[in-house]
Amino acid sequence: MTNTCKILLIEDDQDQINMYRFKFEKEGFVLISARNGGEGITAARSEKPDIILLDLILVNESGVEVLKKLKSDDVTRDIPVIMLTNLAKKEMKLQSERLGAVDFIVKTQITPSDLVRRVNQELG
Amino acid sequence: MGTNQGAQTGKELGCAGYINKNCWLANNVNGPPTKRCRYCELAFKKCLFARFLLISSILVVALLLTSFLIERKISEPLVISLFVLIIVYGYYFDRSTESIIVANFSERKAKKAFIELTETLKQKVSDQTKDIKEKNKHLQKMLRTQSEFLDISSHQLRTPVSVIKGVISMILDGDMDDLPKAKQREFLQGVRDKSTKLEMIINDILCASEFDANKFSIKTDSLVIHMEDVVDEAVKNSRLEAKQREIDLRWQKPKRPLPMIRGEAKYLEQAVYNLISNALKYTPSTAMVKEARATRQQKGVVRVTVKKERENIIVCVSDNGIGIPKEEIGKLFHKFARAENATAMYTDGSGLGLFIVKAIVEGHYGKVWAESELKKGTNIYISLPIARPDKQVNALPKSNQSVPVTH
Repeated sequence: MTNTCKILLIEDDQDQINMYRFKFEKEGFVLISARNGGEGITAARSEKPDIILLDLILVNESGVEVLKKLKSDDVTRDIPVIMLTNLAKKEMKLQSERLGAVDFIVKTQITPSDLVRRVNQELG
Repeated sequence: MGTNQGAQTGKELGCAGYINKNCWLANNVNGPPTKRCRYCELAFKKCLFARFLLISSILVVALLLTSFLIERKISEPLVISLFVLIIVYGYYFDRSTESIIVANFSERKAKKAFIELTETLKQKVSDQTKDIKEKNKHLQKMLRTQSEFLDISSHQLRTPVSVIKGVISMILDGDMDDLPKAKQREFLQGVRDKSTKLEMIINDILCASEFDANKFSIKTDSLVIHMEDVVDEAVKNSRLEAKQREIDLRWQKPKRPLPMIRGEAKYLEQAVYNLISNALKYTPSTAMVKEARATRQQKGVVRVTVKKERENIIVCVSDNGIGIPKEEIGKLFHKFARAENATAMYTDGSGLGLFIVKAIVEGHYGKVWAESELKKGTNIYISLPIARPDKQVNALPKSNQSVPVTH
């Protein structure tokens, strides 16, 4: 199942970037990574990814703030965003859903294959 | 008596020596009916005794006058019967007014006591309400802190777990079958590192919550130890990490033994280890340093020193790493505090290391503080009081062992 869908992973932990990069590239995706919100928004605007995986705890800012910025920008508004986090707080989940995230996933509850499946499902 | 009276005016109403300051009789006639007047606060105009005197005088005059007008003389039996009458009248008057005054006094006293009691009760209730409100506030704050603590620690705990679980499930799914052995090893090493990290985070969380619950403090019978031995051990345990991070870890054990301190070697070793480990994390192995004319490459160095300063032993862990912004030095020793520039380099610690250091050092009656300059480096100091010589009786002059002290 090869496809050339582009994924933007906004995540501050390098080990996790490496892991997800390996899995998604193996599945034929193109994975772009950003280590903080600013970089992530720039990448989202220039690369126009098909989907964004956004961590909730980022360097110096909350993923929710980044999500707000993504959703208020005409260029990035329509890109589906999946929140990917280890902070399983109900209010965070509600807040992200209200802001337009398509899903809120706790990293420890899924494996990389599950995530690939979820992304594929989202991209149709 | 005049002076005595002045001194006695301070006495309370109802007490033996009380003299009514308003009493004209007490002040002018040197013999007021003091027994019952000690209960009286009435002014002269309202004085019952004065009324008695006035009424009886009028009566005497009236009777004498009447008898004189009728009989043209004052007979002896009349005078005697008049005096008897006045004495009897006086006696009953005195008794009845005394009981009135005393009853009035008791009532006033009871009222006063009641008002005082009400005031005291009101005060007590308001104090207790305030106390309860404060406690409630404190509890709520504690609950919030606890819940924040749980949120953040669960996040810190899940981070390594997500990598461990992810990599292992990829191996089981066969994703890595085609990978070269070296690459596979790299992933496995990552898993091992993350599980070590996980264990450390769990230890830190347990340790911090224990310190939170019971403030750590050394016991009076704690051993006296050589701090340089403690540091030596902590440095030994950090060597591997320094090597992996390619940082020069420099430590020279003093040739002459320093004065001993009283403490728990295991805890102090953890404190020093945490400091070294932090320094290693926030120091790049090499960094480009701009100097006047050119940029040069600077190797990451972490230096550990121990020395005696006045009555204290000072341990310093210094690095030439990223430094800490001035405004963030203050919160450094709080739970989960991490300076803004630190998150960029390192995010998978427990966030509790320096909090634990502070709890341990303060439990040893010592101090910990930091000095730092951005992009230049950080010095963190621990200062511990030297054990008093009289408690060092059995301490060996130079030894790696800890020795118990007998008093």
